[in-house]
Amino acid sequence: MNEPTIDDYLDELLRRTHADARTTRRLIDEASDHLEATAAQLEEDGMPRRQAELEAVRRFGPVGPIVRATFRRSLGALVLDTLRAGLFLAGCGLVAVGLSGLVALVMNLWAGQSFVGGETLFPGPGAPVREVAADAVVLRVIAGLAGLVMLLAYLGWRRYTTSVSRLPDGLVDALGAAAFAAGTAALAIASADQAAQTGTPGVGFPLSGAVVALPATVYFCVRAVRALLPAASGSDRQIGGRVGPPAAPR
Amino acid sequence: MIPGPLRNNLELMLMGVLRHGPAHGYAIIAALREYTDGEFDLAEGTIYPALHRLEECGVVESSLESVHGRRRRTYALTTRGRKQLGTQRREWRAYVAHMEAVIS
Repeated sequence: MNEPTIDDYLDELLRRTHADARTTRRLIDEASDHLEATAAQLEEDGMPRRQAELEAVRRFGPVGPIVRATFRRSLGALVLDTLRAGLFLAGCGLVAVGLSGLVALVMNLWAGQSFVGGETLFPGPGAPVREVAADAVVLRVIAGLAGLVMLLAYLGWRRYTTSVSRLPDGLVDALGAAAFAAGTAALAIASADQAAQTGTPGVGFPLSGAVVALPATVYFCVRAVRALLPAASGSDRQIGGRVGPPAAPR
Repeated sequence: MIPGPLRNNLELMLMGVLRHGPAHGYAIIAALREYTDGEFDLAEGTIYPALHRLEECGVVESSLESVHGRRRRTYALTTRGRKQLGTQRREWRAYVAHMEAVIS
């Protein structure tokens, strides 16, 4: 009969604990110490090692209730971390919209208001060119300012909470990269479509967004890659002080 | 109606054990067994999520030490935890007294 020994039990606990890394590591540490202490005590009382391990595992109890209690405890923190990440991404998105408003302003000055506001597909037929061109700047900059406020709130939140994020490394950056990449693609296609239908008038409206979304995509991709590939990110430098094989002994 | 804090007896028992001084999980279980003459023979692993929850609430605090090459976490009641224990103990005693009055 395959009853779990201490190692089997810890493997199962690790596999089924869907909590953040710190909570999981702490639970495994404590379970390991507790099980070993129990087994050692039973061995001292004359029980063979294997039997002592089985008894220690039996006393510790089934994995299910422990992982459920741990997950419930971790869930609140996970929700808060998700909200904080959402605040960061929403703030970045709105700041990008604000920057696209500044790009639209440059386009208005450089290429004339019809480049942004002329016969654009977005505001609908009949909208005055000047109004659309101005709205593309003003409304977007207002959105950008709202985004800055959200980013400041995010930084404040992060500064005054000391806990390590429960979300997997790179997840937020990967989501940001995916969102900005989708935005870049959609706006680039809209720009090309606009150009094909009307020529240059109105192209600046989506193009100003694409011009900002593209570097934002690159920025989030770099952050995601650095987080997901620790060897390339400098994490080794932080931990070991250097990267690469150890120096040959002299 | 059962007072809110008393709904979780395990946490109250853990605080009751830690009232006597700092202890790690294994020692807490041994003490629980001793105080109750083995009546409260709960699954030992269930105390850890409860201890973590108490620590998050600021009722207990923990510190790490190394024992036989293993990391061992010791828990202790905080000042806030002692006050909380006092309050919960009074509520528990009142609850028991009322129950006693009803069923006796």
